[in-house]
Amino acid sequence: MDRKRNASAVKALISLIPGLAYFLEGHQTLSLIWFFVTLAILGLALWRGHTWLWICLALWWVGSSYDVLMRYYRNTSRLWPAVLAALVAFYGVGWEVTEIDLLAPFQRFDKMKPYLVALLQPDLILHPEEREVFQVPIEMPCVKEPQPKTIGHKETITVSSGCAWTGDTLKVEGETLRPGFKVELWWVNPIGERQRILKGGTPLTLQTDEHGRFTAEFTVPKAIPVGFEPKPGEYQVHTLQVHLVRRVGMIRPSDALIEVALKMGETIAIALLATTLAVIVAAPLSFLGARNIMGGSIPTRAIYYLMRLFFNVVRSVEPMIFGIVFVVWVGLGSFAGMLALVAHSIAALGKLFSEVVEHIDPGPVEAISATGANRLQVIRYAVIPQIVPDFASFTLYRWDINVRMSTIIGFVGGGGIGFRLSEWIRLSAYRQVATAVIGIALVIIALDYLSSQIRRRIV
Amino acid sequence: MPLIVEHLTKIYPDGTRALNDVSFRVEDGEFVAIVGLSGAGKSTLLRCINRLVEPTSGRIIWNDIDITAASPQELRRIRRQIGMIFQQFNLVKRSTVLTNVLSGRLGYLNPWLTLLGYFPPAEKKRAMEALERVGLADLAYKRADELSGGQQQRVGIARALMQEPRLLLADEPVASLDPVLAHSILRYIEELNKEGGVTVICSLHFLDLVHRYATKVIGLKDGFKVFEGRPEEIDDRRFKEIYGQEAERIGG
Repeated sequence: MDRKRNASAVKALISLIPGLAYFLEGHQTLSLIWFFVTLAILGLALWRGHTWLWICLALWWVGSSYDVLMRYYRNTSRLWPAVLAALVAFYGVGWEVTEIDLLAPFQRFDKMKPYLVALLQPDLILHPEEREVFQVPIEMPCVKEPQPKTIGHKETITVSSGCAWTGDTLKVEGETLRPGFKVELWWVNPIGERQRILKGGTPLTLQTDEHGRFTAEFTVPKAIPVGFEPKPGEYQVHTLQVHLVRRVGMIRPSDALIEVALKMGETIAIALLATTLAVIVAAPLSFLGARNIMGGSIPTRAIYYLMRLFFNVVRSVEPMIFGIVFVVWVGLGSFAGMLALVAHSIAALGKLFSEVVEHIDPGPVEAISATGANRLQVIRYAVIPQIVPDFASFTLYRWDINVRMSTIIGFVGGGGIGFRLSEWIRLSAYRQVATAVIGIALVIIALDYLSSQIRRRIV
Repeated sequence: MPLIVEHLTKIYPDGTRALNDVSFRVEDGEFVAIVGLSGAGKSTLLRCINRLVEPTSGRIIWNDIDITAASPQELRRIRRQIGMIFQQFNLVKRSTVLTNVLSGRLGYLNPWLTLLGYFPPAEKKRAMEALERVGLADLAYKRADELSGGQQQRVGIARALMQEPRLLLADEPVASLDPVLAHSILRYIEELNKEGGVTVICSLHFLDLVHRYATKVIGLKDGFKVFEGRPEEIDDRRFKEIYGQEAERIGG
């Protein structure tokens, strides 16, 4: 009876130390997990200092003990209370450090809107136009009695007042101008800042009639330069520009479209060159990283492990990081971008290739070795014919990836379309950004389709 | 020039004892059948002879040369005189039939030229002759995997022919084939043996095939040699020694 009580006491004690029961049962890994989870929750609680984390820790503790007791007395395992407590702690802290703000995407939608709108009207074509500009000086504010103002002799522009102030309504009329022209109104302040005159939020656009006449009313926009407000009794001279615009000649691709096409070509070429160079290096290295080729003796196995380590370490570095490294090393531009892709691709392809080599059918290797062929001949006649299709397929796939990657690498200065795109984003050139994004998407879809078709043929 | 196997033992790294102190002697021109259950050590024995598998201990002497002590270069020179055909044919599936046959000649040719894919015209002629001998000359430029199993094994034989072998190792050459094709393949091997004077060591499953073709039988069980003699000496008692008490004789 006494012994039994002792045994119960021991069991209770064991259950109080998380993981100890597993350790005693011989599950070392599980007990280690238990130990580290306990430490992790404790660490989080100490770091963040939240009460709910201490509660989680307590629940974890109780849950673990409960599990151990269930194992001792009921022969079942009840893991879920402990696991749940641990998950709440980890996800809770994760949520907190990520500063998740579910409303931000909605509240700040206006930041995104110009890009989305621009996607519908990318800068694709340019219509060459002929433009005639009439300039009417307007004094701001009025220091004299407002007088209508007319400029020109045969072709005349008349403004209802030669002076005005922000928010005033002015009337502008044109006489005997060239008929059938589009009319735009622009406002230029004394330091040369130009803005299109709007009506109801959209640019005011008119048309001259068959007599070359137009009439428009508009509101004087906010145009006083900050820090240059006129002193009382003085005025500054702004300019109302009347543009007569007519499209002439053929439409042609916009500068942005041409730029995107050229840079896209550059990007594909960078990716192609990088992939080719990477294959040239990775293909021989992959044999050194294949267990079935290198497993023979201890020195070759050492090379195998080194190769594997090299592939894994280099592969785990993001191409973008390589991009930054090479921009510092060899300077801004496509060369840096290409080197970054080469570095990452060597490792990525090297690993894939060596797995292909490892999975070849050993039969032909055996058969060719049995004919008295040397090691290189065995590789040439038994290994290479088996791996060429997979190598080609992975290479194409890598090219495809590299086109996408080189866009990203461009952002850190690695040339190609990415570099131009990052500039346009910084300049808020929404329509050009849209052109670039659409161009990238189309090229990648096309390449994806192409490479999958070719891969299907060769495998 | 006999083949002498002395105290051959093979223990794999995982501890499996595939061969235990196996000794026998094969005279020139013999057709030796190796029989035994799967896992008895037949494949290991054949592969030890050309050292595709390194023996753990023991010696193999052929033409007064100790194969087990040969340097890598010597080993290649020995291997090129020993043809081998396999249960799974072991052709390079994506290569043409002709390339597969030509690869049997690699041990005799300039390694650097062959790495570039160059074979002298005389060798191509020899390969076509080998294919003619196995009746496949018209399939020379097909991919190996387009051929049927029986045809692939005949390509395997043509590849071995290219080596002008003095010894042929055949590892279950007909076990993956339709039984009706077994004789057609074995007849090619028999022809090599009878007319070419090539010594053949061939592992076989079916005793009727053993009786039909072999001049000598070696029985293996769990890596031990349990029988050595002429095929007609295998009576019911010997049969049970080789294949175990549960086994029933079928056929021959």
